[in-house]
Amino acid sequence: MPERELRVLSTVELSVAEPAPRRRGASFYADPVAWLVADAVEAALRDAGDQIRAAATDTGVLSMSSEATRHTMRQLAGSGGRVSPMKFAGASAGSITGVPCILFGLQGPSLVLSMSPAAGRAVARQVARSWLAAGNCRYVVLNEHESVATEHVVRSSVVDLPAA
Amino acid sequence: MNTVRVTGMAWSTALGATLDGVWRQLLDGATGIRDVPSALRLRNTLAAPVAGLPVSLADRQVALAETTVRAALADAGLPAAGALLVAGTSHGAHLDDEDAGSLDRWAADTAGRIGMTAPPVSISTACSSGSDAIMVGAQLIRAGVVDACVCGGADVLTDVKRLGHSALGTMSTTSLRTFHPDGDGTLLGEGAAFLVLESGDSAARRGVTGHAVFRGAGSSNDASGMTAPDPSGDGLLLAVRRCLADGGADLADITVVNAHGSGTPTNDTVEAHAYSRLFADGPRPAVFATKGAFGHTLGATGAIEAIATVLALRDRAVPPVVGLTDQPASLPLPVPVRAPMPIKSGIGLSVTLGFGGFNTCVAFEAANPDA
Repeated sequence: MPERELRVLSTVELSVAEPAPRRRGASFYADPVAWLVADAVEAALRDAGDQIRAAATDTGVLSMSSEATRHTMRQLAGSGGRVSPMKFAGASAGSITGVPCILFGLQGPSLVLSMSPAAGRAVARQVARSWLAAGNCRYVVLNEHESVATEHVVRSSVVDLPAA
Repeated sequence: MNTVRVTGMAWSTALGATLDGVWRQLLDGATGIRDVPSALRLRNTLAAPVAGLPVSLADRQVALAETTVRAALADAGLPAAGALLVAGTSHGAHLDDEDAGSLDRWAADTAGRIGMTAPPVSISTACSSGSDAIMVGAQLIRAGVVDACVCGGADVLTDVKRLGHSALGTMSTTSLRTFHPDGDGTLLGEGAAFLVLESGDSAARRGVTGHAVFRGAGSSNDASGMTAPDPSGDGLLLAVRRCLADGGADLADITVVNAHGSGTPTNDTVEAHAYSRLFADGPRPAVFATKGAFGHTLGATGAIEAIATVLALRDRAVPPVVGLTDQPASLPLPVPVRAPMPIKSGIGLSVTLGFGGFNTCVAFEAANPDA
């Protein structure tokens, strides 16, 4: 039986030359790319409709980037033996998925492929199909981050798997 | 849906690198944690490094993975060329080496050195990376994308990781004592583990039953915080229930649970609470943890613990939890203390929790459950 194809409910693309560092409270640091992904996820969820926000527990998040949080990783690598606990936590590449999950309460399956979108896209779509077909979630937010020339580009799409 | 078998396994740990040699040490209650002197201001200089690796961290990361992947393929009797590498790490060498390159370079270098022709799949979900690699590999096999994957994780011990866990306060000032009432944190380890997952059809064509049957996987996000798990345990339970549903398994089938068991009071409290709720009215599986033996190997831990779970199912025995002196009052399920504990035939779960809210549960059944 042929596999069902993903249906794209919304897609948002954001690009900036230098993602801005931001804070959310005194004890929450996230890498600038994680904030940019979160901005794209917020817009994609909004465009996909209210039903998605009402199904946060059943919405998965899968992000792809071969760079992810390297901005913060490089800061720590050059920190000379002094490590900020918040930056250590924010250096995790997983935060490009974790931060949008925290901000929007998304509790479906979650994953980061630390690969370029070109290299990871086929695998990401298969994983999303598997989650959806197994009933692990009803929607998946697929995020792609890459550096193009001097810009960081994030594409965020909300997908589901229509009934056969 | 294709069945998935575990036809090869290998690990490289502070206790050694042979499958059964390390397993026997675990059953004996041994630990690979030792003093690793450092001029850094650490909460604790204890750690669990792997012996005989290169000093350069980027080289060390690749060598650790390469050695272990080769051993897993040899155990499976499969050539490298036809298998897909699905590899996870938390940070690898990237926190200490500004020139470590893109996040997937270590995986590509590993696959290239071994002669694996397909570009690898690279995963980074903190301490769930190893188990997420298993989940992804199994999904690709079930979907018929590949016949065989080498799935797991590798993570080197580095200064910035030791400093980071010191700064966060997650590093113990004493020793790693999972589920102990006086447990005060984790200690870092280093290691790698890879499992060869193979479609049932491919294994049958080769006449191989392997070590175990992969039964399912489930994951969730706590959506709670960057470093601490959701105190309710609800996120963790979502992952376990998704795993059971994925594998068509019931709670009554579960005979053993390998806990994440990092040794931090927050983690251990959440897990004890969650498993107490999950099994309140049903079976009473044994719960064990291995970080007191291996240290917390971060991105490798999920794969290391998956192997421990498979071996426990094979031998129907779980190793004692290092550092635990009495049955924990917080967890009203059988926990092996000071000696191995027998378990029944059934399904084993291995659970990991990672920074960023990642919860992953993978399930296995012995290859010959009636043997």
